[in-house]
Amino acid sequence: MSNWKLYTPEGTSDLLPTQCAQKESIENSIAGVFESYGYQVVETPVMQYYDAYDTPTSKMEQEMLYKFFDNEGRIMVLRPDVTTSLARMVATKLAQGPFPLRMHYSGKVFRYVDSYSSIQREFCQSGIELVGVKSDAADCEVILCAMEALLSCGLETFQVEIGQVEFFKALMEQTGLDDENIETLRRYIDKKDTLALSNCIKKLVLDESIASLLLRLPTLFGGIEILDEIDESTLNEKARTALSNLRTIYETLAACGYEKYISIDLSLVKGINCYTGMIFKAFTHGVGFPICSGGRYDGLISEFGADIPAVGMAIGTDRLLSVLLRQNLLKEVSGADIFILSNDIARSYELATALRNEGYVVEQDTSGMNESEALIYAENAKIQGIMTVLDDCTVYVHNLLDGTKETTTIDELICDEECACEHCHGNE
Amino acid sequence: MRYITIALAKGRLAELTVDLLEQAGLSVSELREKSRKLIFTDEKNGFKFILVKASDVPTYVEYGAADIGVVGRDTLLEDGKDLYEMIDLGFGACKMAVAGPKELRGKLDGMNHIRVASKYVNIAKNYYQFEKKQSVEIIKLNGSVELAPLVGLSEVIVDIVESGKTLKENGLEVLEEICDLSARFVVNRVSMKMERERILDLVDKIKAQLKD
Repeated sequence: MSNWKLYTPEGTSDLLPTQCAQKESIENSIAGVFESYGYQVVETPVMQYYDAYDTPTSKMEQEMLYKFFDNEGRIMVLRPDVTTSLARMVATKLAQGPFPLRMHYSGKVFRYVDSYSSIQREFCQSGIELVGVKSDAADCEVILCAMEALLSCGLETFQVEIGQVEFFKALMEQTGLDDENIETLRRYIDKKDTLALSNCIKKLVLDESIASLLLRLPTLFGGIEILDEIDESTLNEKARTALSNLRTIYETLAACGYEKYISIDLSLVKGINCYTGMIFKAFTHGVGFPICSGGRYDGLISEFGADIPAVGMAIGTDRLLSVLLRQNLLKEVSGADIFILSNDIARSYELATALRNEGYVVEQDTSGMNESEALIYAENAKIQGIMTVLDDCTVYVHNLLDGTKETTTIDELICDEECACEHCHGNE
Repeated sequence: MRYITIALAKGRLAELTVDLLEQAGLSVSELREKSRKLIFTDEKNGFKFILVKASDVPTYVEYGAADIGVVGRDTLLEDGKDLYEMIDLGFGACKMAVAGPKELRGKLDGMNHIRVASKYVNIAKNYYQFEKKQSVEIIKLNGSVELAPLVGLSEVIVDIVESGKTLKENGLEVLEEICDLSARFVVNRVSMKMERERILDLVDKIKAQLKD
């Protein structure tokens, strides 16, 4: 039997201090943007009952889920997303409102993904849900918030692709096809596989105008102009509403100054069992997967007993982190501000505490270093200055940023002018 | 200008693709030289070409290490990666099929336990699971798959059939056809959005060449 004690489980990884600080810093900027929009932070358990992921709307392939049993024999999962458990939370505890309800979260989700090449199985997501409103404005707000969050982390180039699953569903209603045929068409459109799509359409009996529109779907992506290329006269009401929602979103975001980041893709037809309107994904250079995705899911909360519309999105913060790293956009992580050398912690404690209270990050020596050892340590740990406590009163300060050295007193360092403490006045 | 990277499957497929890319206006002279290099560039048009093993092309493209790949549909089906399959290049045409001794013709559906040998484990698995709705035992082999039924390792094989000559010489024949295969031009989902114009331009040019 092999011994695995030295390894992290497949698809998971440790975060060392620098990476972890960088990740926390981007999570904080994202949360800052969410909160500036009025979203309030919430949490749900990482463990959930399997049943929550077995409804028609929230269904996940069981192969993707981490499953185990609780002591009563019930099937549990490690949550593959946060939205589903928030939908349960809203339906069972917040269904009386007040709406709109704005929630944000940050946490881990778990999925078994393709067993060969993809190695990630534990993902970090930061996301928002805007619950209780069904409007173009709510759709816009979520996309705006996503773009601002990405920008706040320093990401400069990205593309947000916006689609509308109701458009595809409306076309399918007009054809009257069964679920199996719909799924086949959806898969070919999603893969932009026009050859397989046209072969498939030839075999089906379809209205000519719909057949030709379906055939064009894989190429219908780009700016607002692609919406003008569609002849709406043959479409049903639902399809027209879907297109008008897309147009409003595009025009609104453009008017807010984000046109260079957005485009439309009518062949974005993923997750159609959950989504019921606008969907979007954000992409950037350096990572072959979306870094953010979201959409409207008006049917999900009703699976848990309350019919409430909602729209939301999540940013994959670990993917975003790796992108920022590759694009050299991460801020350097600095070490502590001050390293205090003293042969006695009690003696320097007052100085350290006073400096900490002023907002400095202060490390105290705990290993009895001499000055040259301290210098080497400070350099490696990116510490900005060393203070050597010489006696009860005097301190030798070495500023490693500009190289200056001076001897001063503790009082000078920690007391402001109005200070009346014993140190400042006792020696006078 | 950012380079657009094209992953080519080493071997005959790469040669045919190079001709096509040249006709589409890319400078491929570096690729034609005999060398052991694996990366080539077309500075003028801002393209990079990398030569990789056929079965690795979808992986390079899925991860975005290459924006575009040219690879046989067999490899794509086997890997099941999430890519855009933009063009059927037509060349390398062949079939994926179930083959076995002719005595088994017409008897496979009624068999309780079939052992299937194949290099294409996933294609075989999906075929029996979704199309035939049969539980089978799949045996992974890495080459000379035709041998398996002859020595009793399996009843049938799932493999690529071009002329059927190898099968015939080994006393096997095609029992069921699974699907047609040929080379595909695939694109990473992100690249398609980030480099839309340049990629679509290349797609149009290649499509125009294929029509002629």
